[in-house]
Amino acid sequence: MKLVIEKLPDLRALYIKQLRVLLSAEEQIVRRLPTMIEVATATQLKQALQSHKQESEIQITRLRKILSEIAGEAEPLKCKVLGALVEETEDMVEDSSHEAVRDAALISGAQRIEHYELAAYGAVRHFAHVLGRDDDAEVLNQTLQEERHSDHLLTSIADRVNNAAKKAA
Amino acid sequence: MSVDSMERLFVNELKDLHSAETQITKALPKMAKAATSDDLRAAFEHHLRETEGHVQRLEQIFEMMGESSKGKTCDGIKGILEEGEKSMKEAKEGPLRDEAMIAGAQRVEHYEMAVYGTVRTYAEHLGRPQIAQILEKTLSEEKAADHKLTEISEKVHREVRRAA
Repeated sequence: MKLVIEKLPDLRALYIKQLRVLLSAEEQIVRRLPTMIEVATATQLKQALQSHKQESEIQITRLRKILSEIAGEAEPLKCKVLGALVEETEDMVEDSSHEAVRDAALISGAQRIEHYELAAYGAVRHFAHVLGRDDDAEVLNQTLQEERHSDHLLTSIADRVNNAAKKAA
Repeated sequence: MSVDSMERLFVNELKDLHSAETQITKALPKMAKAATSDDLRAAFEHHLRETEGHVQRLEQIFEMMGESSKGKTCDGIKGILEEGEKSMKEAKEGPLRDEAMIAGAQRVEHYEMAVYGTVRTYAEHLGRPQIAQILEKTLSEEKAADHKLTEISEKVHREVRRAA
Protein backbone atom coordinates (compact mmCIF):
# COMPACT_ATOMS: atom_id res chain seq x y z
CA MET A 1 0.00 0.00 0.00
CA LYS A 2 1.33 3.35 -0.96
CA LEU A 3 1.20 5.91 1.78
CA VAL A 4 -0.46 9.10 0.62
CA ILE A 5 0.59 12.19 2.49
CA GLU A 6 -2.30 14.53 3.09
CA LYS A 7 -1.27 17.79 1.49
CA LEU A 8 -1.77 21.13 3.09
CA PRO A 9 -2.61 23.52 0.26
CA ASP A 10 -3.19 26.67 2.31
CA LEU A 11 -3.08 28.28 5.72
CA ARG A 12 -6.68 27.40 6.44
CA ALA A 13 -5.84 23.71 6.05
CA LEU A 14 -2.78 24.08 8.28
CA TYR A 15 -4.90 25.93 10.87
CA ILE A 16 -7.58 23.22 10.92
CA LYS A 17 -5.00 20.49 11.13
CA GLN A 18 -3.22 22.07 14.08
CA LEU A 19 -6.53 22.67 15.88
CA ARG A 20 -7.38 18.99 15.45
CA VAL A 21 -3.97 17.98 16.82
CA LEU A 22 -4.51 20.30 19.80
CA LEU A 23 -7.93 18.76 20.41
CA SER A 24 -6.28 15.35 20.57
CA ALA A 25 -3.57 16.73 22.89
CA GLU A 26 -6.15 18.17 25.30
CA GLU A 27 -8.17 14.95 25.27
CA GLN A 28 -5.04 12.97 26.12
CA ILE A 29 -4.26 15.39 28.94
CA VAL A 30 -7.71 14.92 30.46
CA ARG A 31 -7.28 11.14 30.20
CA ARG A 32 -3.76 10.99 31.64
CA LEU A 33 -3.95 13.64 34.37
CA PRO A 34 -5.84 11.52 36.94
CA THR A 35 -2.84 9.16 37.25
CA MET A 36 -0.51 12.10 37.74
CA ILE A 37 -2.84 13.60 40.36
CA GLU A 38 -2.87 10.27 42.17
CA VAL A 39 0.90 9.94 42.44
CA ALA A 40 1.48 13.57 43.46
CA THR A 41 2.28 14.04 47.15
CA ALA A 42 2.26 17.80 47.76
CA THR A 43 -1.29 19.05 48.27
CA GLN A 44 -0.69 22.18 46.22
CA LEU A 45 0.57 20.11 43.32
CA LYS A 46 -2.44 17.81 43.48
CA GLN A 47 -4.73 20.87 43.45
CA ALA A 48 -2.88 22.55 40.59
CA LEU A 49 -3.11 19.40 38.45
CA GLN A 50 -6.77 18.95 39.39
CA SER A 51 -7.69 22.47 38.33
CA HIS A 52 -5.65 22.03 35.16
CA LYS A 53 -7.82 19.04 34.32
CA GLN A 54 -10.96 21.13 34.72
CA GLU A 55 -9.47 23.89 32.59
CA SER A 56 -8.53 21.39 29.89
CA GLU A 57 -12.13 20.23 29.73
CA ILE A 58 -13.26 23.80 29.04
CA GLN A 59 -10.46 24.23 26.50
CA ILE A 60 -11.71 21.12 24.68
CA THR A 61 -15.18 22.69 24.42
CA ARG A 62 -13.64 25.84 22.94
CA LEU A 63 -11.63 23.88 20.37
CA ARG A 64 -14.68 21.84 19.37
CA LYS A 65 -16.70 25.00 18.82
CA ILE A 66 -14.01 26.64 16.68
CA LEU A 67 -13.51 23.47 14.64
CA SER A 68 -17.23 22.91 14.09
CA GLU A 69 -17.56 26.43 12.77
CA ILE A 70 -14.64 26.35 10.35
CA ALA A 71 -14.59 22.68 9.33
CA GLY A 72 -18.14 21.53 10.01
CA GLU A 73 -16.87 18.86 12.40
CA ALA A 74 -14.54 18.49 15.36
CA GLU A 75 -12.49 15.35 14.84
CA PRO A 76 -9.26 15.00 16.83
CA LEU A 77 -6.08 14.11 14.93
CA LYS A 78 -3.76 12.06 17.10
CA CYS A 79 -1.09 14.17 18.77
CA LYS A 80 1.89 11.83 19.06
CA VAL A 81 4.00 14.44 20.81
CA LEU A 82 1.68 14.60 23.81
CA GLY A 83 1.86 10.82 24.09
CA ALA A 84 5.68 11.02 24.08
CA LEU A 85 5.71 13.79 26.67
CA VAL A 86 3.37 11.91 29.00
CA GLU A 87 5.43 8.72 28.65
CA GLU A 88 8.60 10.65 29.36
CA THR A 89 6.97 12.04 32.51
CA GLU A 90 5.71 8.64 33.61
CA ASP A 91 9.21 7.18 33.17
CA MET A 92 10.73 9.92 35.30
CA VAL A 93 8.05 9.47 37.94
CA GLU A 94 8.42 5.68 38.02
CA ASP A 95 12.18 5.97 38.46
CA SER A 96 11.79 8.33 41.41
CA SER A 97 11.96 6.38 44.63
CA HIS A 98 11.40 9.34 46.93
CA GLU A 99 8.16 11.33 47.29
CA ALA A 100 9.59 14.84 46.94
CA VAL A 101 11.81 13.80 44.02
CA ARG A 102 8.75 12.27 42.39
CA ASP A 103 6.84 15.53 42.80
CA ALA A 104 9.77 17.40 41.25
CA ALA A 105 9.77 14.97 38.31
CA LEU A 106 6.00 15.39 37.92
CA ILE A 107 6.32 19.17 37.81
CA SER A 108 9.15 18.94 35.32
CA GLY A 109 7.02 16.77 33.03
CA ALA A 110 3.92 18.91 33.48
CA GLN A 111 5.90 22.01 32.48
CA ARG A 112 7.09 20.31 29.30
CA ILE A 113 3.43 19.67 28.49
CA GLU A 114 2.49 23.28 29.33
CA HIS A 115 5.22 24.59 27.07
CA TYR A 116 4.12 22.35 24.22
CA GLU A 117 0.65 23.83 24.60
CA LEU A 118 2.00 27.37 24.85
CA ALA A 119 3.82 26.95 21.53
CA ALA A 120 0.89 25.22 19.84
CA TYR A 121 -1.75 27.72 21.01
CA GLY A 122 0.60 30.59 20.11
CA ALA A 123 0.79 29.21 16.56
CA VAL A 124 -2.95 28.72 16.03
CA ARG A 125 -3.75 32.13 17.56
CA HIS A 126 -1.35 33.60 15.01
CA PHE A 127 -2.95 31.65 12.17
CA ALA A 128 -6.41 32.84 13.29
CA HIS A 129 -5.22 36.45 13.10
CA VAL A 130 -3.78 36.03 9.61
CA LEU A 131 -6.98 34.36 8.44
CA GLY A 132 -9.00 37.27 9.80
CA ARG A 133 -10.77 35.03 12.32
CA ASP A 134 -10.57 37.46 15.19
CA ASP A 135 -13.18 35.73 17.37
CA ASP A 136 -11.19 32.49 17.19
CA ALA A 137 -8.01 34.39 18.00
CA GLU A 138 -9.61 35.87 21.08
CA VAL A 139 -10.83 32.50 22.39
CA LEU A 140 -7.46 30.88 21.68
CA ASN A 141 -5.74 33.74 23.44
CA GLN A 142 -7.88 33.10 26.52
CA THR A 143 -6.65 29.49 26.60
CA LEU A 144 -3.09 30.63 26.00
CA GLN A 145 -3.28 32.91 29.05
CA GLU A 146 -4.63 30.04 31.16
CA GLU A 147 -1.75 27.81 30.09
CA ARG A 148 0.72 30.54 30.91
CA HIS A 149 -0.82 30.92 34.35
CA SER A 150 -0.61 27.14 34.95
CA ASP A 151 3.04 27.17 33.99
CA HIS A 152 3.82 30.00 36.43
CA LEU A 153 1.87 28.26 39.18
CA LEU A 154 3.93 25.10 38.64
CA THR A 155 7.13 27.13 38.85
CA SER A 156 6.13 28.53 42.23
CA ILE A 157 5.14 25.08 43.52
CA ALA A 158 8.44 23.67 42.21
CA ASP A 159 10.33 26.05 44.42
CA ARG A 160 8.78 24.58 47.55
CA VAL A 161 8.94 20.99 46.35
CA ASN A 162 12.60 21.31 45.42
CA ASN A 163 13.40 22.52 48.91
CA ALA A 164 11.63 19.51 50.35
CA ALA A 165 13.47 17.20 47.96
CA LYS A 166 16.80 18.74 48.87
CA LYS A 167 16.15 18.07 52.55
CA ALA A 168 15.29 14.49 51.72
CA ALA A 169 18.53 13.91 49.85
CA MET B 1 17.65 3.26 37.33
CA SER B 2 16.40 4.47 40.68
CA VAL B 3 16.35 8.21 41.13
CA ASP B 4 16.42 8.79 44.86
CA SER B 5 17.78 12.33 45.01
CA MET B 6 17.55 15.70 43.32
CA GLU B 7 21.13 15.23 42.15
CA ARG B 8 20.18 12.08 40.21
CA LEU B 9 17.08 13.74 38.78
CA PHE B 10 19.26 16.70 37.75
CA VAL B 11 21.78 14.46 35.96
CA ASN B 12 18.94 12.57 34.26
CA GLU B 13 17.43 15.80 32.95
CA LEU B 14 20.82 16.96 31.70
CA LYS B 15 21.22 13.70 29.79
CA ASP B 16 17.76 14.27 28.30
CA LEU B 17 18.83 17.74 27.19
CA HIS B 18 22.09 16.45 25.72
CA SER B 19 20.15 13.98 23.61
CA ALA B 20 17.63 16.69 22.64
CA GLU B 21 20.30 19.18 21.54
CA THR B 22 22.14 16.51 19.56
CA GLN B 23 18.93 15.58 17.72
CA ILE B 24 18.27 19.27 16.99
CA THR B 25 21.72 19.74 15.41
CA LYS B 26 20.74 17.00 12.95
CA ALA B 27 17.31 18.46 12.15
CA LEU B 28 18.27 22.11 11.68
CA PRO B 29 20.28 21.72 8.44
CA LYS B 30 17.26 20.04 6.80
CA MET B 31 15.00 22.83 8.01
CA ALA B 32 17.37 25.51 6.73
CA LYS B 33 17.43 23.80 3.34
CA ALA B 34 13.62 23.66 3.14
CA ALA B 35 13.10 27.31 4.12
CA THR B 36 11.99 29.80 1.48
CA SER B 37 12.38 33.02 3.45
CA ASP B 38 16.01 34.20 3.64
CA ASP B 39 15.41 35.43 7.20
CA LEU B 40 14.12 32.05 8.27
CA ARG B 41 17.01 30.18 6.67
CA ALA B 42 19.48 32.53 8.35
CA ALA B 43 17.72 32.08 11.70
CA PHE B 44 17.95 28.27 11.43
CA GLU B 45 21.61 28.47 10.44
CA HIS B 46 22.35 30.82 13.31
CA HIS B 47 20.50 28.59 15.74
CA LEU B 48 22.46 25.58 14.51
CA ARG B 49 25.70 27.26 15.57
CA GLU B 50 24.14 28.21 18.90
CA THR B 51 22.90 24.66 19.43
CA GLU B 52 26.39 23.28 18.83
CA GLY B 53 27.52 25.65 21.58
CA HIS B 54 24.74 24.37 23.85
CA VAL B 55 25.98 20.80 23.41
CA GLN B 56 29.48 21.93 24.38
CA ARG B 57 28.17 23.71 27.47
CA LEU B 58 26.31 20.58 28.57
CA GLU B 59 29.47 18.53 28.07
CA GLN B 60 31.36 21.05 30.19
CA ILE B 61 28.75 20.60 32.96
CA PHE B 62 29.02 16.79 32.78
CA GLU B 63 32.77 17.14 33.16
CA MET B 64 32.37 19.44 36.17
CA MET B 65 30.07 16.86 37.77
CA GLY B 66 32.17 13.83 36.81
CA GLU B 67 29.22 12.30 34.98
CA SER B 68 28.74 10.84 31.51
CA SER B 69 26.54 12.62 28.98
CA LYS B 70 25.42 9.32 27.47
CA GLY B 71 22.61 6.95 28.31
CA LYS B 72 19.36 8.67 27.41
CA THR B 73 17.28 9.34 24.33
CA CYS B 74 14.98 12.32 24.58
CA ASP B 75 11.67 10.95 23.29
CA GLY B 76 9.93 14.31 23.77
CA ILE B 77 12.12 16.07 21.23
CA LYS B 78 12.08 13.03 18.99
CA GLY B 79 8.28 13.29 18.84
CA ILE B 80 8.32 17.04 18.27
CA LEU B 81 10.89 16.76 15.45
CA GLU B 82 8.96 13.95 13.77
CA GLU B 83 5.75 15.98 13.91
CA GLY B 84 7.62 18.97 12.47
CA GLU B 85 9.16 16.95 9.67
CA LYS B 86 5.76 15.57 8.72
CA SER B 87 4.12 18.97 8.40
CA MET B 88 7.22 20.27 6.58
CA LYS B 89 6.62 17.58 3.94
CA GLU B 90 2.86 18.14 3.79
CA ALA B 91 2.85 21.90 3.44
CA LYS B 92 3.17 23.43 0.01
CA GLU B 93 6.63 24.86 -0.63
CA GLY B 94 6.92 28.60 -0.03
CA PRO B 95 5.52 30.84 2.71
CA LEU B 96 3.08 28.14 3.88
CA ARG B 97 5.88 25.63 4.48
CA ASP B 98 7.78 28.37 6.28
CA GLU B 99 4.77 28.90 8.55
CA ALA B 100 4.56 25.19 9.29
CA MET B 101 8.28 25.04 10.07
CA ILE B 102 8.11 28.06 12.37
CA ALA B 103 5.23 26.45 14.28
CA GLY B 104 7.32 23.28 14.64
CA ALA B 105 10.50 25.12 15.61
CA GLN B 106 8.66 27.06 18.30
CA ARG B 107 7.47 23.79 19.84
CA VAL B 108 11.13 22.73 19.96
CA GLU B 109 12.13 26.03 21.58
CA HIS B 110 9.37 25.75 24.17
CA TYR B 111 10.39 22.22 25.07
CA GLU B 112 13.91 23.44 25.64
CA MET B 113 12.76 26.48 27.61
CA ALA B 114 10.78 24.21 29.95
CA VAL B 115 13.70 21.86 30.56
CA TYR B 116 16.45 24.50 30.83
CA GLY B 117 14.20 26.42 33.26
CA THR B 118 13.85 23.26 35.33
CA VAL B 119 17.53 22.29 35.40
CA ARG B 120 18.64 25.84 36.14
CA THR B 121 16.36 25.84 39.22
CA TYR B 122 17.70 22.42 40.24
CA ALA B 123 21.28 23.70 39.95
CA GLU B 124 20.45 26.63 42.22
CA HIS B 125 18.80 24.37 44.78
CA LEU B 126 21.72 21.98 44.68
CA GLY B 127 24.16 24.80 45.44
CA ARG B 128 25.82 24.79 41.99
CA PRO B 129 25.63 28.49 41.06
CA GLN B 130 28.30 28.17 38.38
CA ILE B 131 26.34 25.49 36.57
CA ALA B 132 23.12 27.48 37.04
CA GLN B 133 24.80 30.41 35.31
CA ILE B 134 25.83 28.33 32.30
CA LEU B 135 22.31 26.94 31.98
CA GLU B 136 20.81 30.41 32.29
CA LYS B 137 22.93 31.56 29.35
CA THR B 138 21.51 28.82 27.14
CA LEU B 139 17.97 29.47 28.42
CA SER B 140 18.26 33.14 27.37
CA GLU B 141 19.43 32.09 23.91
CA GLU B 142 16.49 29.71 23.50
CA LYS B 143 14.09 32.47 24.53
CA ALA B 144 15.71 34.87 22.05
CA ALA B 145 15.46 32.25 19.30
CA ASP B 146 11.73 31.85 20.07
CA HIS B 147 11.17 35.62 19.85
CA LYS B 148 13.13 35.81 16.62
CA LEU B 149 10.86 33.14 15.11
CA THR B 150 7.76 35.11 16.13
CA GLU B 151 9.21 38.18 14.39
CA ILE B 152 9.93 36.22 11.23
CA SER B 153 6.46 34.67 11.27
CA GLU B 154 4.97 38.17 11.12
CA LYS B 155 6.85 38.77 7.89
CA VAL B 156 6.02 35.36 6.46
CA HIS B 157 2.35 35.96 7.30
CA ARG B 158 2.27 38.94 5.03
CA GLU B 159 3.67 36.78 2.23
CA VAL B 160 1.09 34.06 2.87
CA ARG B 161 -1.63 36.68 2.60
CA ARG B 162 -0.21 37.97 -0.66
CA ALA B 163 0.02 34.43 -2.03
CA ALA B 164 -3.55 33.59 -0.99
